[in-house]
This record gives sequence, structure tokens and C-alpha cells, in this order.
Amino acid sequence: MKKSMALLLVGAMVLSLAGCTGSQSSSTGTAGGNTEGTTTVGAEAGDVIKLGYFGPETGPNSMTGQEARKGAQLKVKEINQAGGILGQQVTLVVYDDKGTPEGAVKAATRLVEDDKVSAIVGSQLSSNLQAAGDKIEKGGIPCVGTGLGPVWLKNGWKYFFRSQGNSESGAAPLNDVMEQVGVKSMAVMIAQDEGSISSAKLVTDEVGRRGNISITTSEVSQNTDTDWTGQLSKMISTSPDGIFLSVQVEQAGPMIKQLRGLGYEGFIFGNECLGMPDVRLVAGDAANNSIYYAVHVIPDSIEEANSEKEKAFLQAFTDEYGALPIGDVAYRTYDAVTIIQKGIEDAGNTEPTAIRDAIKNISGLEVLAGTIDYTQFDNGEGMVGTQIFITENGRNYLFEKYVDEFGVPTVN
Amino acid sequence: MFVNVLIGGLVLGCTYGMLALGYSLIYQASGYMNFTQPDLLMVGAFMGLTFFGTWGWPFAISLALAMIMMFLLGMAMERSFIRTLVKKGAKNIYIVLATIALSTILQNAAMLIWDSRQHSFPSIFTKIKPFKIGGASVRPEGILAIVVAISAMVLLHLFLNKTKFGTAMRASAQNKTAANVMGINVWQTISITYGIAAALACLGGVIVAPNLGVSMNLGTQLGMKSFASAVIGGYGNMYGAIVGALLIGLIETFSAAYIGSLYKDFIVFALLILAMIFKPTGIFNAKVYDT
Repeated sequence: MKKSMALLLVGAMVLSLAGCTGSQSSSTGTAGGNTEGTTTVGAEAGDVIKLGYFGPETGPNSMTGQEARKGAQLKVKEINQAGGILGQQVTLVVYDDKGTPEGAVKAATRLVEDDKVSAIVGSQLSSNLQAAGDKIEKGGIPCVGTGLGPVWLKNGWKYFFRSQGNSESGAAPLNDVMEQVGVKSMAVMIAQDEGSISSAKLVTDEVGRRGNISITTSEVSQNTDTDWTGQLSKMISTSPDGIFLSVQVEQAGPMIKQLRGLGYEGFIFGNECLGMPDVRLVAGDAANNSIYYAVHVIPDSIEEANSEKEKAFLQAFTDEYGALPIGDVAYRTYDAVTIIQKGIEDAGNTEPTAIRDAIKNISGLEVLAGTIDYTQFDNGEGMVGTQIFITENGRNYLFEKYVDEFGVPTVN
Repeated sequence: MFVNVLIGGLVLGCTYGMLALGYSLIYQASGYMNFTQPDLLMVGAFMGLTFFGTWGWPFAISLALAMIMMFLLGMAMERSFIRTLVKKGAKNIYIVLATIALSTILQNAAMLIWDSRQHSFPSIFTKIKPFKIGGASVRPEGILAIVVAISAMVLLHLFLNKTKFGTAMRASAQNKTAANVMGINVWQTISITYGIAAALACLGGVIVAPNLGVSMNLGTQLGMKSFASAVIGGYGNMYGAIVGALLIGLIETFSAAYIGSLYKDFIVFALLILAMIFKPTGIFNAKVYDT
């Protein structure tokens, strides 16, 4: 009996482990080193257009990373179902960069040197784009990155583009709202990744430039932190009118929960991460009274989409994956593939430099984030513009609409 | 602020302590280091979440069932992987590497069984609201974590030192051949130890989950500092595990609050290095070096 039980347990475990390794290798690639790591999504073989993708499938940012990959895959599938590009089917070569800069460099190297892709959809982590950029630039492959930090597009690279507005455009409107609700002092928490550092710098620089709000303390959160009692207690002890959290979505939920648990009831400000559904899921009511900037906020249902284009995207995403996206990164990668598609169509061939030149001249392309116009910036940026949202009563409101309905919330 | 930081540090320390106890327990019984503990905590928390949060079963039943399943998983891991390697004559370093590999497999398995999202674990005490101690807001789950960690430490110490099975565990670790000659079923003893350590990790995971949430990265985030706790306290010593963990938790939290959040990890791991150089036996003089 004991032996049977043991064998059963071992068998179950081996099966589960075999199952997990099998599924892993078929669903995603890895930049870790083995050539089996690549995954082709879309067309299988033959005369196909090969696009590359790298992002965090595993590691601390895997939650949003997988959503990003799904967005790109969905667009590739739609393209292929519609007959492909220039009559050719499209395949997406996916690499897991594990959310690390070194993983991103490995992935970029593989995409440029081994897979010889025509164009790349880049990670949603700005630090990884920054790390992998030189390799892609020297390889002469156009890359539409999805990270929002402004820094990586300030390197003078000629093959890089962004699929939506950068986080720079959120700083001023967020400051407007901070002042509107009566914030005079603010404590800041900054996660130690490129995107969070950039967005914090933009917002605090704007605060400093205006001179209407004092920053009481600025604390940091390491990627491995699970408890922020020390930092949060210090921040609360300075009695700020508001707290600005520039952190990744994986940290935002538990951090807000702990913040409220320590007795803080005031406004929480932040970047687009605060609008992710998982923040409300984890933090629950603690997420109320959060105000943040974002291009997209995932609605609670398809019907609440802000446009017909978004509604169609959400319907397709739900049909394909069984649920709404949990991060706006899916929008960004979907748009990135759309931009590359337009670039290839305009170029009339799949030569990377020709695609780059064509993307550079894209103007008036309607995507989920708005209208792309690379001609007006000449640095890879294609649009500006974010909106301010507030989480109240367990749901996200466009701040303007909230004010119309409930009036301006104020510091108590 | 002081009371908030103190309580936060104690709760964090006890969270590390649950894992550190598992590290020490396995080392006591088998002489091996086992790096699957943090991910067993994560899997245990997910199981608790499924039973309690998703299926709505009573908390006590959910916890008990999750611990039983984790106990069996711990035993299965030992029987299928660790024992195979040991019987093949693998050196200790290979056992350690195998546990690191298992740790990654557990994370990926969790991602496939559940997902890679953050999950909210429902409050265990629905009728007890957070209360004030010295002006600080305290969640009842925080107090529970402290009580459970201290109780686990005492019970494990008594179990190891006052029971026949505990003596057998220690004998198995010290000299397997001699223990065998004395009639101790060494492999069964080690197997049960892995099971107990896994169940303990599960207990820790379920207790801290309402505060930290549950995700596939939960164990990774706690693992290194828990290991540091076990080393600083005295690797293999139950009291050392908890005292080391409380020390780390308090230093980390007070450093963040009073010195600067940029320095807290630097301070914690510098302490680990210093302890390994100047006090390798830890606070409780554990026998960790071959001399």
C-alpha cells in the first residue's frame, strides 16, 4: 500500500513536471541559450515574413509579459487570416528575456544574428530596450518598442520606434490634478527599474518646476521586496497630502494594501500601472482614491470600451484567450505589430532598412492608442497624450467624467 | 512610526522564519541544503488560496488539506529525486543543484496550474478588524504570523529533542550507517522530514498570503533572506532559524525606515557575509563547518 502510494505520488509529480516542461517549450522561447527556445507563431514554414518578439515570459514581470506576447500573437493571427502581408504569411519568433537586461541582449542577438527577422516587437520594459538597443541598431533591424520610459528613444538610434505615447506626457496632467485636489505635500516611492525611475523623475521634475508641492521623502523599492513597512511607515510619518507610487504592477497591489493597512487614507498617485485590473484585484477597496495617468485602462467589460476599435480588439482578445487582457501591454504590442505591418506594406518588401524607412514616414495610422505620426517627431516617437483616471468605488473612471458626476475629490 | 516599524519587522521576520525553519529542519535530518523551500511556500499558498479563496472551504479545513498535500509532495520529491541522487553517490553540491532545479520547475508548474498573476488571498479573520497598538494599525494576520512562527519553533525543537522520531532524525543526519545499524529506517525518516518541511512551508505561505498576496514569485522574493536568516541564526538550529529571521526582519525594516531604503538589502547581506566569516556557527553555535 505504502509502495503504491509512493509510486502514485512520484508518477503524478513526474507527469506534472513533464507536462509543465512540454507546455513551456511549446508556448514560449527563452533567451537562455538553447536553440529549442524559439517559438514560431503563425505560419509554419516556407516563404514567410519572420518577425521577432522579446519580453518577460518568466520572472517578476511575467504577468504583464505574457499579456504583451498575447497581444502580438493575436495581431499576427489576424494578419495571417486576412491573407498575410504582401501575400506572405507572417511568423512571430518569440524569446523570453526573463525580464532581465542580459536576457534581452541575448534575445536580441538571437533575433538579429540567428533568426534574421525583418522587424522586432520590443519588450515593455524600457530597461531591456535600453540594454538590447545597440545590438538591434547595429544589426539594422527596425524595432517597435513597447516600454513607456522616454530614455531609450533618446539614444539617437535610427531603427527604434515606440507604439504609443511615452510616460513624459503624463507628468503635466497628473500634476494638474494633484494641484486641483489640493495636494501641497507628497511622499514618493520608486521601484528600481528603468520605467519606474523614469516616470518618477518626470513627475517629480514637474513638481519641482512648478514649485507648488513639496516632496517630504523619496523611498525606493527593490524588485525582490514583498514588505514595505519600513519605507511606507517613514512616508506616512511625514504626513503627506498624497503618496506617489512609481512601481510595477506586480508590486502595486500588495504595496497599496500594506499602505492602507498602515492607516494611510489619502490620495495615491501613480503611472499607468495603477490602472491594471490586478491592482484592484489584489488591493481590493484599498485601491480606491488612486489617481494615475495612462493611455489605456482595461475596462471591466467589452461594452465599456472607449472606441469601436478597442471594442473589436477586446472581443478578439477575449475570443482568443478567454478573458479580457490584464495589462495595457497587450494593446501596445498589438499596435506594434500593426505598425510593422504598415511599414512592410509601404516598403513593398521585407528588407529591414526599407521597412525602417517606411515606418519613419508613417503618418495618420489609426491604432488602439490613437493616431500614429512618426513624421512629426523624427526620433521614433509617434504620438503624445495620456489621460488621467481615478479608481473609486472599486472601478476606474476617467477623471473628468468622475468630476462631472461626483465633483472634485479633495484632500481631507 | 516606531511601533509600526517594530510590528512590521516582527511580522516580516516571522515570515522569513517559517522558511528558515524548513531549511534548518532538512539540514538537521539529512545534512543537505534544500532550496525548494521558498517555492514550496508559494505552492502551499496557492493551494490554500484554491481551497479557501476559490472554493470557499472553511479556513481550518483548507489549511489542513493544503498542508497534507504539501507533506505528500515533500515526501514525493525526496523519494523521486533526492534519494535517487544520493543512492547514485552524488556529491552534496549536486543535491543542492537538484533542489535549485526543482525550485524552478515548481515555479513553472505553478504558472501552468494557476497563472503568473498576482492573487489576493482573502482575509482569514473576517470578523476581527485591524486594531491599534501604540497608535499603529495592526492586522490580525500579522499577529497570527508571529504566534504561528514562535509556536512552530518551540514545537519543532521539542519534536527534535524530546521524541524518539526526532532523535532518529538527528541520528540519520549525523551517521546514516550507524543509524541503520541501530534499527532506524533512515530513508523513511528523511522522507518524512522533507514532508514536514514542505507542510511547514505551506503553513507559512497560507499565513502570510493575506498580507503579501500570492504569485509564482512569492517564494523567490522571500527565499534569499530566509536563507540568510537560517545562516545567521545557526544553520540547522530551530531557535537560530527564528531568532536569525527576526533579526533580519527587524534590521531590514528599521534600516528602510531610519537609515534609507536604498541601504536595507546592502545591510542585510553584509550582515550575512560578516556572520559567515566571523561567526559561521551562527548565534546558536550550529555545527556547520567540517573541522
